[in-house]
Amino acid sequence: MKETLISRVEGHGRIEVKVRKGELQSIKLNILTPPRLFEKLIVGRHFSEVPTIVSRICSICSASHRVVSVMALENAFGIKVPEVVKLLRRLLLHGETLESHALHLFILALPDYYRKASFVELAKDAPDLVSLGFRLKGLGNRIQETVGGRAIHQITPVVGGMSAMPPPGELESIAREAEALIEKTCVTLKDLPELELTPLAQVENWVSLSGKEYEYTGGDILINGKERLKVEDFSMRFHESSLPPSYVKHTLLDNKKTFMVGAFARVLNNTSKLKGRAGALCKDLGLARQRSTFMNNPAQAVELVFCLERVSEIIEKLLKTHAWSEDGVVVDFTPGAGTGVAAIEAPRGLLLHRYSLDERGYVLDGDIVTPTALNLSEMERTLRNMAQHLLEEGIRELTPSLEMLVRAFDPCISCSVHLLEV
Amino acid sequence: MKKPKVGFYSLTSCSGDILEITNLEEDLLKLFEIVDVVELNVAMPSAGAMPEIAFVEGAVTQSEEARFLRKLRKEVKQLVAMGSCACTGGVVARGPKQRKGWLRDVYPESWEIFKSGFPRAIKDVVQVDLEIPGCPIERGYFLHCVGYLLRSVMPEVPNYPVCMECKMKGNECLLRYRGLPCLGPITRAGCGARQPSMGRPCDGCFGPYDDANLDSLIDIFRSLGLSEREIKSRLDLFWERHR
Repeated sequence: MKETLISRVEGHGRIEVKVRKGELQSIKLNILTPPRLFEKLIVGRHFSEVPTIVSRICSICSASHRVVSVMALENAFGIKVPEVVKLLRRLLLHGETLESHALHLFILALPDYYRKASFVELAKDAPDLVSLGFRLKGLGNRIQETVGGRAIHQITPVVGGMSAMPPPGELESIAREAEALIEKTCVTLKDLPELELTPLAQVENWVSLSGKEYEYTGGDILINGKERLKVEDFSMRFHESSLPPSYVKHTLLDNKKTFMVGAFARVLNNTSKLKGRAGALCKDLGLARQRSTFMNNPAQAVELVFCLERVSEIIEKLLKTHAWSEDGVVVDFTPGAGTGVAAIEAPRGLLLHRYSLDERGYVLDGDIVTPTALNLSEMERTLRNMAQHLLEEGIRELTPSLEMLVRAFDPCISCSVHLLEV
Repeated sequence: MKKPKVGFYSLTSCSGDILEITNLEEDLLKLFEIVDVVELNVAMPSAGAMPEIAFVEGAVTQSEEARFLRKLRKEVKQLVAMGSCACTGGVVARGPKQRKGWLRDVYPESWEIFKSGFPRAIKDVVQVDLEIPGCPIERGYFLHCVGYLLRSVMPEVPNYPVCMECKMKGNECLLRYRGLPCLGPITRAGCGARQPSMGRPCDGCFGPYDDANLDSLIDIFRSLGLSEREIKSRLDLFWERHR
């Protein structure tokens, strides 16, 4: 038996492989970050504190957790927010995705493409590449700080709106930096080499939100590009079960199928909606042709360009349509008893929050379904297939390939440890 | 000159303090030039060596984590706790001391395999040389601390409230003019008054400065009409341990 702590992923996870006489006995992905029991922590708390608490589930996707919790609570109270609030939240989420994808693609994953142990080694051979990664990541953080108030555990999204507006001058400067980076990012990433392992992990099912346009909020759940499901009906098709010793629950589609969520699932479900330079890069990288898990890395490259283009569009719209004041925009509302559900596309895929509240707005219970937990069964399925294949080829050193596969999912292990059955 | 060995370790947490260090962006490469990073699991495989200075994020919830900390303490010259979870147990250190009931509710089929206890601060397990507060920490203050620690000098910590930073930024006082329950008057400065600057009262994640007068602020909250439940709840986010 061999256990490997996976490096260059967020949180602590181990792949446990049992091989006897060259045959695979079992393979498991053990999530080792201990449970923090967030669904219990929020019970009995006032709704206004919920976004502050749940954003602490994960640092990399704290903006997603904060925004989706606010949206679920707004749905529970029947609140409609104005367009400017929707735009600001989208801008914040694009900042988050820029930061998260640039960190994963350039700093954690690209060393595999160039056979380097880490970004520090990669920076010695390809300083411009690593430097571009940090510049993209830096822009993502600057957006999150300007719009959200902080790069991690953002401040401004509140139930009913946004507690402050970003300074217009800073937005203009962000738009200029985003535009300046589009060309450079396309040129750098369009020749992203293909990993040798690419044909060895095939995606069979994929799930993401899908609306009128390519976006991270709004729309229905789309399965394999054809079956639509309302967000509220998620638990009719998706079921969780606990499989020890992993701290995460496994989720299956129709009780039997594993599936992938994340950048590649979004691209597969929404290819035709990708316009501009992102659409062109999608074609250059051949994303629609290959159904490999490893295509999640180039899919993140496409989304980096998508976010850059979108950031500049949203800022243009914001500056044109809104009479500016630095005070926030928060609509009046009365909290009351009810249940609210909301889903968004976090950088790593579909994220759902559901809350039930009493008549004074205190939480009765909550459910949180995270992308890494949704991906877990698919990770194990593809790991098993790949390990079998490599063993058949007589390859004994499985670890580096299996690690690369897990890394392609961009797992966020802090996020994956606190699921309650839906 | 031989570069000092530095390690970054993550216990039970959202990984936000180490992520904030990666938010140094290209300056992160400069940090690698002046120190020998032996452990930073999120970004590189382990060098398999023990550091002289260890930065640890997260709360202690498992006996393995406590064992690891005791081993680390024996090896390192300086042990630094980073962020609210490492300094106080953090927002997750709430609820019953015995976690069994909660674990059973969340993982009905598998709760017995969890050896997870109430989140503890690092100083509850081993001696800590320095605490860097915040949820998350501030990357600028982290760098400031590194500069001092490399010269074996303890860094200075701001010993005044967040209010000072609000005044310097010219913010309207949320407590006085909007009647919002801001913890700025009792909370250690260092974040640049991030929340009040964005229209939300301070949640107090840096903890108290030395002369903080909690009782007096509670009286002000009462005079604003907050119920005892609301006051308790307000202090419960980050101040539970400091009451």
